[in-house]
Amino acid sequence: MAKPIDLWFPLGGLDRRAAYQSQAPYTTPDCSNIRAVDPLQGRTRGGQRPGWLKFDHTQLGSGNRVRMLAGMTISDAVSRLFDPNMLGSNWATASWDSIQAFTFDADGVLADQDDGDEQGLMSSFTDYSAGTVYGFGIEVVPTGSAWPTSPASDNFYLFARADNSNPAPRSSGVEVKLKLTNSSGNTAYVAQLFANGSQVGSDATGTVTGTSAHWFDIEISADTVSAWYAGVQLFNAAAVAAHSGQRKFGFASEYDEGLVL
Amino acid sequence: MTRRIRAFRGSFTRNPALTGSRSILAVSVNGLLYATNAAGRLAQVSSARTLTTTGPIAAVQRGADELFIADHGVALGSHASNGAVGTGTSKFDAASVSDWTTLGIDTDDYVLVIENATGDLVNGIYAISTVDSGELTTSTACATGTGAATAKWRIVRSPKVYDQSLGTLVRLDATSGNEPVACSMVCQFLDALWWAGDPDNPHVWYKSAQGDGYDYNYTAEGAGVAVAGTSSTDGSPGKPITALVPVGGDYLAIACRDSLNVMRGDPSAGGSFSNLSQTVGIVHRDAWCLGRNGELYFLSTAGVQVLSYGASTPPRPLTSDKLPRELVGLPNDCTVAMAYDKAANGIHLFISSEALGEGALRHWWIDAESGAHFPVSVPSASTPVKALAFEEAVLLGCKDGYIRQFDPSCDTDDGTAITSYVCLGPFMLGDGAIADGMLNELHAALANDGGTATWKLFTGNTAEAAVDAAIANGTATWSGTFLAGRSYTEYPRARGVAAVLRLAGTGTRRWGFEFIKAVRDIAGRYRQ
Repeated sequence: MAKPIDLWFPLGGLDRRAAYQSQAPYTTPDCSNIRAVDPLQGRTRGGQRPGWLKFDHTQLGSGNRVRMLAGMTISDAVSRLFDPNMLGSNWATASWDSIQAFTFDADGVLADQDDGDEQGLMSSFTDYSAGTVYGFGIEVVPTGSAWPTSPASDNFYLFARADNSNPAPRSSGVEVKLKLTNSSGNTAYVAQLFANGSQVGSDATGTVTGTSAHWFDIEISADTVSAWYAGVQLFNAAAVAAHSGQRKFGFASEYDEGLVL
Repeated sequence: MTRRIRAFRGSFTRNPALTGSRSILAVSVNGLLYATNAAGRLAQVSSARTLTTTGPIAAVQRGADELFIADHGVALGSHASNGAVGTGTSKFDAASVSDWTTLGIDTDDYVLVIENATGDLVNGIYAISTVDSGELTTSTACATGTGAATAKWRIVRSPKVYDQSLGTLVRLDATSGNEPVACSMVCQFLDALWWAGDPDNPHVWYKSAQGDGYDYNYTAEGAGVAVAGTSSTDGSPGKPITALVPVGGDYLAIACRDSLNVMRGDPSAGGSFSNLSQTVGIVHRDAWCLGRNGELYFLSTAGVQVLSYGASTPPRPLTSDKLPRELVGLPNDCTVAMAYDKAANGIHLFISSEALGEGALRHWWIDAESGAHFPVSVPSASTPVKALAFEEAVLLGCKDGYIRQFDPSCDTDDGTAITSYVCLGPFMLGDGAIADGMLNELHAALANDGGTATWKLFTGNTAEAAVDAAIANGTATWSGTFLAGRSYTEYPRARGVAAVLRLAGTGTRRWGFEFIKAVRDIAGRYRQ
């Protein structure tokens, strides 16, 4: 008589102690790179372990092995921001440069947008030293299995040195645009750097394996702007002149269907 | 609508200054020191001094801005007795060295240690100002005259201090007594620095005066003075110390490879030293981590053990019933990186060996709640060799000079596809082992928003045969692919006594498991 059997995920991990025929329930005789908690929703149902990414883009010590990792806690005037929800008081939601205010669903996914609509957030605080090196970035990840297929694309923007009172970084400030598309299951990128509305240098292009989350970062040191995506340096250029009263920064995203009317 | 911004990060120097606390990461690679700058990125600390390029380095913060670093390494020269006075009271020579310049002594990093001195030489640790062919010149006098003398001597790396506020890396120069040298371990306990791991005195620990990381006057008396734990009455374990683990201000675990001891309180003020285990200890200076409730997890020669907070009872195996053989009897020279991941409530355990080659030893993810062990494989070129719980994440210092961190949104290891698989079973197809069975149907659902997974069904006339076939992962008669979400029903019609279903991820998208059901029927008595 037909009998159904549940093949349970081995939440109990690897176990090679018992006789083969007496393999303990919820264990496995062999596995690799799995965990009891699935990385997609955090449910205890099993799945592949999460991957990793670079904490810092720089390869240290000419690529030799790391010998020391140590943490310190200090008191100084540097503020580190880490905001997984973008809901803190650091952000102003008023529109600027025709970019609409950001809206998220409960999972942090951007709300639906029409083709070409851009949504973003601009910083509300400006009380930092623009003369001291500073940096910021966003972690971008597709919610599906891949980025859009060209000519459609997902576009992300980082803005800096926008005017404190009337931010319009596309005409007065720094803008880094990152365009991501699907490339046979991998991530193709095209990046552009703009200063006061004019492109600086040429496009930075490349492909990153897979469709994982990656950080898209910008760093400003004096007049030099550097940007990275997935650990790859996109730009390192003396892009802007000295400035004052332009300390707003922000970011935005856009879904572009790539249709030409 | 496919995009998602998962998080924002930034780092700014507030103006007007708004003082707050923040975390700094300090890293050493290839002798160089790096620390996170105002932009949150790792930048090299400019200094003439370097750190060792061999072996892991321990470091601990003491005070507002100082990081004490146990810089160590192989002695560039040593002898048990032939130290001698050179051509002056600040000159040192030894009959066993014909040309001091050939030893490669960097005066920024190395010091001369004189012990057991007789005659005009004076015991002490001396900075070296000049290295000449015929002798060393010390920064302060190492002798009282130029008469006959003998001494044990060695040239070793000096411990260092990184001052974050000044951006400097300097030698640790004791203001009283002699600083511990050549130690590979340092920690802070009861507002004092504790050092151990000097290869010439492997069973000895050294404690600074309370509240002063520069005071090592071991002859002082009174509560809170510096102490060298050289004998059992001082609290020396009598065996080479392998790890120092402070657990808050409550106790300090002083571990050897096969024993575990606990120091409670300050040994100069009535502290007690007791043994918790004479069978298990900590195999490596980095083979431990603290859990969310202060419990100490550590890797012993008998697998992962846990010492409950309070250390009132001996350590116990984290799992007594399913200890993987790979975790028993690890080689002495292995490198261990271990850290508790509070977000995922588990332990990262990376074990590697420079001698055996990366990949020769297995890495593990250990579920702290269940104790379940899951083998982990990573790209060998980026094998983690250091791990640190830092802010909300666990940072991994890797073989290739990068710092990495796990991210639940990541499908790959920094671009490299993750090879994942699991063997489900073995399960009996017939009636126990006495009858063949037929697996007729497979029903499966993987996580909706995840990747796909291939499946292979291996059968055998015993459970062992089915498992062996699944582990060998050869060509399977019955195979297919499960899609994200509910898959089509598969009809393998596979016959055998036992079976194993091998599920494997397909590469660039992580997958989740929802359910798999098999429908089987008895096919007849086993007749072979």
